[in-house]
Amino acid sequence: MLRVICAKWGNYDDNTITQLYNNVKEKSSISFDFLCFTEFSDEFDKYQYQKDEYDYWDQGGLPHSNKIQLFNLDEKFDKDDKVLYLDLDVDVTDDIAYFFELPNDKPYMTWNYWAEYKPEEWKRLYNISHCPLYNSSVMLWKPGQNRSIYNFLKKNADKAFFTYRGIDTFMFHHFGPYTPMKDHFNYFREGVITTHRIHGHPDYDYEPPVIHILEGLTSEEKKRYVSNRRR
Amino acid sequence: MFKTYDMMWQVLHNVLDEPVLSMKMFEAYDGAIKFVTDVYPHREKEVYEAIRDGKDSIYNCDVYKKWCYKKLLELNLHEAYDFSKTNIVSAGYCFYDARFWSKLGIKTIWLYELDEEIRKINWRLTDYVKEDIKILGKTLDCVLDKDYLIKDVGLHINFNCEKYYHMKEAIKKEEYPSDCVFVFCGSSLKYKGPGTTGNGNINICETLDDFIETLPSMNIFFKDTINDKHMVIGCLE
Repeated sequence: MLRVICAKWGNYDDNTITQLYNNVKEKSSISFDFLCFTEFSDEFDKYQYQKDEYDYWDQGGLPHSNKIQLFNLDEKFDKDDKVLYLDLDVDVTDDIAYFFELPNDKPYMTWNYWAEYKPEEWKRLYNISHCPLYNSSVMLWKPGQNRSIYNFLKKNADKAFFTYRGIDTFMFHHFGPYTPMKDHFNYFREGVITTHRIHGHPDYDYEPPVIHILEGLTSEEKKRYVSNRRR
Repeated sequence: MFKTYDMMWQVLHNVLDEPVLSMKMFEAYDGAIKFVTDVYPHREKEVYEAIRDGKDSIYNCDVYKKWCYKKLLELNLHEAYDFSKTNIVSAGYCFYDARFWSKLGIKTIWLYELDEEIRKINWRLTDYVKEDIKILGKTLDCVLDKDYLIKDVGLHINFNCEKYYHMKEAIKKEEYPSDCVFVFCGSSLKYKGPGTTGNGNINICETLDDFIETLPSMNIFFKDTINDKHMVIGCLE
């Protein structure tokens, strides 16, 4: 069974979930089960604002850590399921059966290939909030495959929430290709996932992806993009 | 490959007090710059400036590292303790450091960085001591990945505690030899945005006493502050 899941908290309204569901359904040639997680444990809340003086340049807080809770909440699924996580602000542009056919020996993370073309920028960012080589907007795993990430965060919550301002950076530094846990992830091949931040430029020529991430757009722009999306 | 006369003068100025090593250092510098130019061209300016000026925007100013090495020598700790196996966390570019490693009696050194490239560049920059010192290392966060640090060492230095969670949570007495000497450097340097120093400083301490609060309980041999930088040397108690 392919489980397509998303998560909602904050300012997204329910229409966004319906839009994503319709978007996936329209593009899928295979059956899938769709589930949006809206309730999360408060186990990490106390760590989010542990610093007294927080400012933009400081790190910490680990926003979107609810996504990492999904690595534990997947226990409700069958062990042979495949879980495809999508951010609410993505555009599914091709058949998600692609993900069902991938080998599942390891979980998949989105690798921001586009950031590698400017190493002088992202490699400067090792020590600050964003490390743009990992992107958790689209992830694929079998139930339990990412449990070690959840457990690692749970064990080191005080330190991780103090240190990182993004879960992508956290995962890159502890489960990424240069770390002691370097073999944890597989990566979708280049071109499967694109980002509006780069590929949305009108002069940019690229093959249609399976999923287009709408990062870089404002909330209003995303709404307009989704309502005008290609059919 | 000296791009400017100024650069050649700077390297000469820094190595001529070491006649035995001077030629090897020149060769190491030349090889490292060629490597950086070929493999990590986006690093070229940074490495060049780090060697010329002893400064860079993310890591250490050489003046603070020299302060540490010279203080260890001045206190004769290398005579009293066995530094043959040493850890250094966040050393930055180590072109000049390796001379001090030799004086401190270091035979095997583990360099830990968050940044994989720094480590690879350091292999070249420290090439001039490779016959005397075995240089190893890992890419990790010394707090969250503390289980992967080598514990059987006589000297453990962290030049950038301000880039990590409190050291008292990462360094446990029961995990290290009782005679291991620790050097912790931290600072009050708060990052003020692109183009300024202090990039990635997440754990700044305004005063030396504040800094000591973040460290494991220690029998302190030396503590002081120069400019924004604090340094504490001691053993765990």
